[in-house]
Amino acid sequence: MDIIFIVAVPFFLAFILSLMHVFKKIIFFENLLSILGLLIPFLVLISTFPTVSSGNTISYNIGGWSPFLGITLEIDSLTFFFSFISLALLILIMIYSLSRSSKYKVLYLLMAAGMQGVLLTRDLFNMYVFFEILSVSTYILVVSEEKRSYKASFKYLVLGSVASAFFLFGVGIVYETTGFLNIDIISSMNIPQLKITFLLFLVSLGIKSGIFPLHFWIPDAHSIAPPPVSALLSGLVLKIGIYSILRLFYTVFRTNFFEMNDVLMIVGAITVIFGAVLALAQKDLKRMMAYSSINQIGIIFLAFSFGTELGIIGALYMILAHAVAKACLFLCSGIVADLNILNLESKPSVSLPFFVGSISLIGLPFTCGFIGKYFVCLAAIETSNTLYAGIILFASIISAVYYLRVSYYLFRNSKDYKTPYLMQIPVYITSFACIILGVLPVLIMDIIELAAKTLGGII
Amino acid sequence: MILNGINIGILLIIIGLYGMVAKKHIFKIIFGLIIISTGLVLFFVSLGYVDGGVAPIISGNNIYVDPLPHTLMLTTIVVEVCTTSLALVLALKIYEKYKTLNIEMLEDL
Repeated sequence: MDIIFIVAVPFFLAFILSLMHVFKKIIFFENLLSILGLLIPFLVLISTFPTVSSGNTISYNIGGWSPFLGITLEIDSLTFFFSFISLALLILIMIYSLSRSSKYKVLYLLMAAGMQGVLLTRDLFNMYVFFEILSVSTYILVVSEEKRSYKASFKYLVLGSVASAFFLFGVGIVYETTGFLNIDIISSMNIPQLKITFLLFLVSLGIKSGIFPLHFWIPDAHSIAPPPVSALLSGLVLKIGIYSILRLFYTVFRTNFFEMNDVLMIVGAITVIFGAVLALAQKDLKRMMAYSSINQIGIIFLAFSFGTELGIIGALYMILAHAVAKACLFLCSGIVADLNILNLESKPSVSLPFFVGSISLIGLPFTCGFIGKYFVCLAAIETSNTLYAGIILFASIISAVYYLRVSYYLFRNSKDYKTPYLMQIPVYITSFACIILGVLPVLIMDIIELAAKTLGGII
Repeated sequence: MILNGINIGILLIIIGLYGMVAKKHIFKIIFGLIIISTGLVLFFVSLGYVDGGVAPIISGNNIYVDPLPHTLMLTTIVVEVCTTSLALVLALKIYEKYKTLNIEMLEDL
């Protein structure tokens, strides 16, 4: 099947689901459609694996127009890596939240489509449009019954719109300078005047991925949203911003990125420390995890601003580790009754996945977080930035303090109450993945190395 | 010419940003958003302008304006309508819950 189905199927099924909501409520069909809407793209993506793993790309021109005129979708190893993580997690989180309303599922599928669109498209303006689809559906998903959620959603909307405006402004300048919107064509032209747009894109994608001075919407939106939505926002939506930074900066602005190297490293280091220290000060469990996300994003950002292939491998592994572990923790937080850290109570069976997820985020051995941090520190030492390796290790110690504290309370106040099976399975799968990817990094290392080579070959 | 579409567009974007940063009323923040998007649309439409150009319906050897930014802006306008309407709905809901539209009054809750 053509790769357009990865984007088109969720869109189409979201449309069907919204119609079903109007006519008749058949819960079984609703659930079936919402799972199919993510499973079909996943299978299509898997079917591209043989081509991608041999280093080739698969592209599709929408409407049959040539890349000069039309929009091109393309899967290479980097896209495959991100798309694989996001679709796998989207399916798991959808299973977790099957009991929610059908409006939620419609928005969820729209968000999935937007996310895959951003990953697949090679057209700058198309990327903006998919970003807007992704963002508008997440603004609505953040809203819950709670009073504060409207405020959080509004804050997120205002900042997200400013980010999109900056992005579009940058796209305008790129179009004016080059006359093209296709990323591959622009990067093959190698025009130094594009430097001016670099900062526009950096601010825009920095807001979307939560880098230090632009992070302030994260704690509100991530902590007040319903637990599965927090898992999505923290695990995936931030990573989409990181993907765009990687894709645009290593291709469109390839000569400019490394002149900013030192500045980006300092920004990343501040993000690491800032997130870790503020997470330590939080009383609310989800707010603490939101600050911890800022910390992890800082490590990822730091890793790829080293600019070596090893750094990119570390960054990609951290992205995988953080997506899996943070999704696990936020899904656990939906099962835990009271979110105040000192009053935590849960079933013993939830404490264990939470513990596994937290040691992965701390970076203890035999978890995927360890492998990620190992590569990042190695890259820091390789480029003689030992200070930054020290900062990452220091932040890891701080995160050990706040995560192990939570785990302690979880294990101490264990209490037996019922949780639906559908909510438990994704939690176990994600925590199991943390261990498996830590013990056997070989499973995913090939595709990560290939993705790092795709980017590194451009350097 | 200083007062061309591109410069006025950028000026509008800056005015909109100022409005969003400096104003405390939720509706004024939304107006800031609208002004930014208007500025962007003006900026893009002016990019396609060619002096003495006509609409790109190919006939004979005329000079044509660039139609691509104009078509892009149709999409942007649709996107902005979505975002603005969502922002207005949220403003309504915030007023229902908090009985105020001043964002400074929301902070302590």
